[in-house]
Amino acid sequence: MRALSIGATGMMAQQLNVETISNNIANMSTTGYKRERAEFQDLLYQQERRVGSPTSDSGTELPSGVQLGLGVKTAAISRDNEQGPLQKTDNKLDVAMQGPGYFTVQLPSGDTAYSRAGFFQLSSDGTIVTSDGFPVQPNIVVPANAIDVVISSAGEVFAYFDGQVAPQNLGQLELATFVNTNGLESIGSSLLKETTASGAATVGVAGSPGFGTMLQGYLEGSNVNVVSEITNLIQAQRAYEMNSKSIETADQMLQTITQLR
Amino acid sequence: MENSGYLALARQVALDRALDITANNLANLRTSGYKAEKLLFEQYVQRATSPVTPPNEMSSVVQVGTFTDYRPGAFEQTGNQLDFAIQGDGFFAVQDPAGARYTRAGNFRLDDTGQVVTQDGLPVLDAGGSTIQLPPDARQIVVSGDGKIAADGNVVGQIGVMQFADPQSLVREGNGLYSSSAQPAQATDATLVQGMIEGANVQPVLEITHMMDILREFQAAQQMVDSQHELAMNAINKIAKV
Repeated sequence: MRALSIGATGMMAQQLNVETISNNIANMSTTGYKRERAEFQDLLYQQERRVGSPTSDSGTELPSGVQLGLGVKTAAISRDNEQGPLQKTDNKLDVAMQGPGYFTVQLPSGDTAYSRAGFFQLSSDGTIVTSDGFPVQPNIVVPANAIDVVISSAGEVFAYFDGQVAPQNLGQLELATFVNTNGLESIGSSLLKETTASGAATVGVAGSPGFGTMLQGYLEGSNVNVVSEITNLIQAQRAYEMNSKSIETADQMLQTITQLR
Repeated sequence: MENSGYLALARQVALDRALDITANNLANLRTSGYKAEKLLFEQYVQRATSPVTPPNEMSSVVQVGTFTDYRPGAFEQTGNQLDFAIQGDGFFAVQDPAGARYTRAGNFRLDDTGQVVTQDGLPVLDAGGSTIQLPPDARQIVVSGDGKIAADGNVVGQIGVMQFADPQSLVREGNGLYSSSAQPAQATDATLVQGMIEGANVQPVLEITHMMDILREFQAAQQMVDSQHELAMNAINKIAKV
């Protein structure tokens, strides 16, 4: 009765599918969140009669063999890096990314992390930091007496002071892109880390070739599409139920056997 | 005399197989590019050893093979620019360490060098059998129906779609891959659709009803064994009384 374990692999896969979908729904209003999708593959096949094996000395061969599949497995949970909708916030330190590119954030451990969530704040000394207080790279300090901060589409941060007509350039936010953005590792808190699969970060500034542009006063919303998530949820639940049916059938067949006298 | 018991047993073994295959189809209900597997049975006729009239022939059931249902699955929109579905007959060619493999699952990714790869990191091949490299700074990837990849407007490669004269001769290798000893030709009536994934072509209603059938037939075969057993018991009791 392989059907018992085959049904179990199916149920486990659908459980993971539901978990992935519910994580998407939970993050439907998380700034910079990118939806994820569980990808499945069929498991190994047991070849009982291999297709094409000779059936006689005169060269005839099996037109179709007996191949028994052993269930399903999860191949990957891949991130869908489609642009999220831009939401106006009017906050001076909210920056949305349009197009490819990640903000560079320095973690307390000294490592570098990458993020699409551009809701920045000022620390006690005026440094631009993420909502967790991690400094955005390069360190840009906004003086306490600045009356206004303007961030250009290229990520240049300007401060206006009382009595000065021309703004002062405080620095330029840097961005990173990756060949394989799907290879980045999520570490929570809307942060991503570089891996060998993602390739090394290409550091640049907004607006240069291969990089998107920045928009001050906006945030990039999550790209989760609730309608499609709910339909996926229904499909996953039904698939789960059907797999439980194959376990049930196998169980009833076993029961029939045990009633043998 | 005991033959009916063996016939029922042959039927039960076959039904056990059939359930495994149905369960596998249901387990892969949400597997991209999965093609449903079907089972074929044939009768095995056992000739009587001595010429009796009427000829005492017995036919039991044996499985002869499984075949793949290559009907297209439903297309599902993903919005990912490296997801492809094949409309029509054909397979993507990928390079496995063990040789060329073929798949209908077009959920591709880029690796760290910008090469188009499958979820398992196997390079996807073009029609000529070479790997496909995208420029690392490509932003907009547009793939036309014939598989030509344009990165920001420049054609950088072509995804190969291959077809086989006899797709039933393909051997399933798991992980969505098929292998074949035959050489495929470039597909003639296949169109690539970008941003879509082909879902499994498993028909749940059919599989569930099939499963109910299997269970009932299994129980019926069991009944046969039971009544055969009863018959034998009866005979023994009656003969013993004489």
